[in-house]
Amino acid sequence: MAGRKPQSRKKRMKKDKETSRKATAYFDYTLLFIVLFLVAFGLVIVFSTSSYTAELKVNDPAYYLKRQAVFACLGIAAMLITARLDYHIWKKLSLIMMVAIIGLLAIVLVMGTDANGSVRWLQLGSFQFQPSEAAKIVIILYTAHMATIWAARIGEVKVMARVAALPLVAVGLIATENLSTGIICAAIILLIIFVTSPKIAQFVIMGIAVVLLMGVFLLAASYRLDRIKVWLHPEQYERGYQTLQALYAVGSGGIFGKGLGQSIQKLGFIPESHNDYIFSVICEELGLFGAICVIGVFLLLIWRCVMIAMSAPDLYGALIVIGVVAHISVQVCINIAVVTNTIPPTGVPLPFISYGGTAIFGLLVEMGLVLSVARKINVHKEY
Amino acid sequence: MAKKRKKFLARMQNKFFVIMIVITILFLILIGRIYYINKKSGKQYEKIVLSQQSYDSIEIPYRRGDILDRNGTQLATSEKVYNLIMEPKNVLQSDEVKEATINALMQYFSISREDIEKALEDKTSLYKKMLTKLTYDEIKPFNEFIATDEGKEVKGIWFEDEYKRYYPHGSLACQALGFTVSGNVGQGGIEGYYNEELNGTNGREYGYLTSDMNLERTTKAPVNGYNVTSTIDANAQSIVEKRISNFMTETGAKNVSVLVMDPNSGEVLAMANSNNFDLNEPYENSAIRYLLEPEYIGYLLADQEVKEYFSVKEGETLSEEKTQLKATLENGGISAEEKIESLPEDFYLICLNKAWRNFIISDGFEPGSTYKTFTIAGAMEDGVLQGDEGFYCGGVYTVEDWDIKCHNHAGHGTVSIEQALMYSCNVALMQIALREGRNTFSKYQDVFGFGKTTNVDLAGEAGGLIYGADKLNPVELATSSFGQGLTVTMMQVGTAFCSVINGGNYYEPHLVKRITDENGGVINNIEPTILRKTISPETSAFMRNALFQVVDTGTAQKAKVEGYTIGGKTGTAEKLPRGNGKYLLSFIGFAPVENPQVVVYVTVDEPNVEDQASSGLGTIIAQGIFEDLLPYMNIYQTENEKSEGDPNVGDQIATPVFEGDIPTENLSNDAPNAADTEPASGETTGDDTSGESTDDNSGTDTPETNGGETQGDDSSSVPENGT
Repeated sequence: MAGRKPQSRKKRMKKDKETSRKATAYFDYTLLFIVLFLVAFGLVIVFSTSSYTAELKVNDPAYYLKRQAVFACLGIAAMLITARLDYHIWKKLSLIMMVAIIGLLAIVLVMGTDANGSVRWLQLGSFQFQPSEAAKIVIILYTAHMATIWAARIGEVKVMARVAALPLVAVGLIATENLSTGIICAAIILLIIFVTSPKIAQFVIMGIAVVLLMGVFLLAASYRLDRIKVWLHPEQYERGYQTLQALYAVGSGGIFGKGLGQSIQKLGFIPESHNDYIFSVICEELGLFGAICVIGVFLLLIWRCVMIAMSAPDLYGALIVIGVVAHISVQVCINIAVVTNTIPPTGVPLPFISYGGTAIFGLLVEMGLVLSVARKINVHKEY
Repeated sequence: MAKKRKKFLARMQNKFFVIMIVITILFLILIGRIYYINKKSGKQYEKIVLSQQSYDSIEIPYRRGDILDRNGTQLATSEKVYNLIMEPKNVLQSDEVKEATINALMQYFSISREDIEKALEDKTSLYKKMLTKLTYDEIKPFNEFIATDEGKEVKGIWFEDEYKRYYPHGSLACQALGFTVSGNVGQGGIEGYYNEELNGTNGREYGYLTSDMNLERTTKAPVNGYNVTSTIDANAQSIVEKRISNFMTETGAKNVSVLVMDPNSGEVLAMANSNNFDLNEPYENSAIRYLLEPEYIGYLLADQEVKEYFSVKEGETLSEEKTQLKATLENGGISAEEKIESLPEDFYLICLNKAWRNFIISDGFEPGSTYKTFTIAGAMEDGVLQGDEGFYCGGVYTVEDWDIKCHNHAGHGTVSIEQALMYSCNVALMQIALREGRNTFSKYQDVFGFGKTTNVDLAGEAGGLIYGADKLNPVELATSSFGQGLTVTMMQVGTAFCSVINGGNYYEPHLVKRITDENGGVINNIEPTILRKTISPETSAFMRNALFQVVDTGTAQKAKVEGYTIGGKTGTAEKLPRGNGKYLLSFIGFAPVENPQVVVYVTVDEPNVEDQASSGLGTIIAQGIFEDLLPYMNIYQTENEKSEGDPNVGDQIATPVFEGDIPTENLSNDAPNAADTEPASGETTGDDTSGESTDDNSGTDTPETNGGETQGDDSSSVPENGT
């Protein structure tokens, strides 16, 4: 590996000074900047949304901000380290990690700490650790690796099943306690395989099967059907309170919002407004304009990743980026759709912005992976 | 290894690209969704968001102004009361606070634990009204408790100010005052008419969070309503009400109304009806109980509105509920209380409206002979009469083939104008009116304000119905001359009468003389307003003397009060349908004759006596009122040898002559005052005709005049005004 850089430098210096310099120390600063911007913006909004609750609960308005900042710093460090590593090392580790994460998920199911009703946490010393966040990274790495190996034959159902088998076990374990995270993981797997596979028809059939299964799934448990009712008429149910309050926040923002920090809804009306419903406060404080800007930054991030995937030196790198893109885009979509009551409510945080230590750490590691792929781009060839 | 690496193939890139386009479109759809929510419900949600801030923005209620009587006595006032508000969110902040708060509420307000727990279920709420209208004394012990160290644990409880309307004198002047509904909306009377002046503007206490997360408050003070000083004299009012209530217990009637006015300003000093209710509880059973008492139930069942309620269309039968109700009401064995319980809501409402109704301004009726005052005053003023004419009364007068009788069938002989008034001679009045002609008569109807509202400052005034000049054909003219066939309100008669005796100044009648702010600053002084001159001072002087003669030696001798000179005119109007022996008796009088200070107008509708027509009850009630009122008003006794003459003489003359000397057997066609006017066609057109035709002694089958027909209909359906 070490030998590659000087080699290529020499090559390019002959032809073009400009490009050779880029190629030798290529680092996607654009992506880095977007990520850092999102993290910083997230911290500001977390402070804005959580200070009221924090003041009430622990008498320190910056309590949540401080915790989030610590995780963000750790995450950025982890991102930069990951970016420096050659992503091919994950190939060898992916199976071990996969098995380990399945084990962890199983442990959480059996003896996790109960937070917010569902069991999602694992207590590690003084820190709570959410294995499902780690699972996302592992699933990306493992599926990308398997799809790369079996790329030629992935059109065969048998092969596809083999590729997806272990990740789906993990998804099953996650979905048992947290359906929405399960759906996001499944979407990551699906997207990686879909892109790799030369076929389309079987995915269409799969899609239909999933829809039917969903129907059965909803009808099987009455509380899930209730969720649909609450979704359709949030004003008629007590459980629609949060949805309704979020809608009030989204609707009352107007074009330019009430101004940063001026949200009324965060003052106890939207419970835990720094978590899953943080986007509603963004709408209220920064208005339609602010919301479009935030969504725009996410689109920028995603398309920057798309460019990296397109230029990736090999299939494995591209699939890793695709996995990350799938994760971020699906999660943003679900989060905003929930806040605007476009789909039934389900608890999904907004990437980079919502409060949550493990989540932001995990996301930054993922961005580190993307950056490490970007580092391998052969600039000379591509441009 | 690098060589073996698989490439990200073009087909894969294409698929990926398509997927990303789809995701981008999803993002754009979500932006559209946010825009849609903003566009569609933004304004509404903005309001909801603000309205949810009840904790941070508390309304401070204004105080509705008082209504005072002319001497400053409070007739209506607003008392501060307190609503107990609980904030579940703050109560539930810890178990200690919750326990302490629940215990304190149970101890000081005896709210049950279940009720508190139930209210606390709404965990995030900041506003739960637990108790309303507590007095200061009721909340004082609690406030003292929470000031102690022990009480510090109690949190999330506060008191919201509110005002409660209170009428210290209960039912006094109930119809004149009116009451308030749903807080501060005046209903009827002064409360209704001066609602805007009495009401103020709510203040607001705003709370906002500073950058240090402290709740700061600013207050916009409420603007209290204005106080209204009425022209009503609470003492005069209670004198009147006491007399009415005595009469109602001793004799009873469908309705008794009394209007007392100051003739020199148009101010109403007292206004009372026999149907009174406690203004503090206008919706309670007590308001309508009198309607269902045994002595009144007959009137109620005979009432037009009630009859309509129980009426059925052709071919239909009365519904079971209504049949049942009617049977219950008619059953003498059932007590009034039980009857009230059995009333359905719509019927209850009919009863309430009857109880609240102010006959004096809202109901038109045929005035009868009191109206002669205005006919004569108008004729004198216009020069039709010189004052020295004589009219021959032979007991009957023929107008266009219709024989219209005087109440004294034997006739009064030749009478002067004063005597026409004294004996209440219909024939003389008809001759006067016919001499005047339709235009002059109509002109004075207008001058005296009949047929239109007086614009008295009360809600729900009726205008009455009169014949216009074009409809005043001889028969209508003749009957109108003695107050039959047209309807007036007591307010109109009272106001017009004031002008007849005060020198001809028609004052706008009013019940409010001053509007002041809460500090006593005058906002509006309502000065007596002369709307027009009705008659000259000379005519007025003539009328005063003539009216004095009526009381002194005429039909109204029962009105005499020793030591005072009183003038006045009686009225006995047979009600429609004629021939049922139902009368509305009235008397309007003033004192002293030399310098009129007070006008008293009394009407008694269907008194509970055998012979209503000759009972003279209106005059008797008025006499009682004068007796108490004149000394109270510091009106000095006038030396008057005439009034000290043998009162028995007056009585003897009065009783037989007094408008009711028609034998009852003749009543079917001989209304003492008016009635032989068969064209007063109410009875022929609308009601029982068989009785009429048999003793239609005039035997005239003249076609009915248009005016007569309309009038008949009109007078039986007196306009229902306002409330």
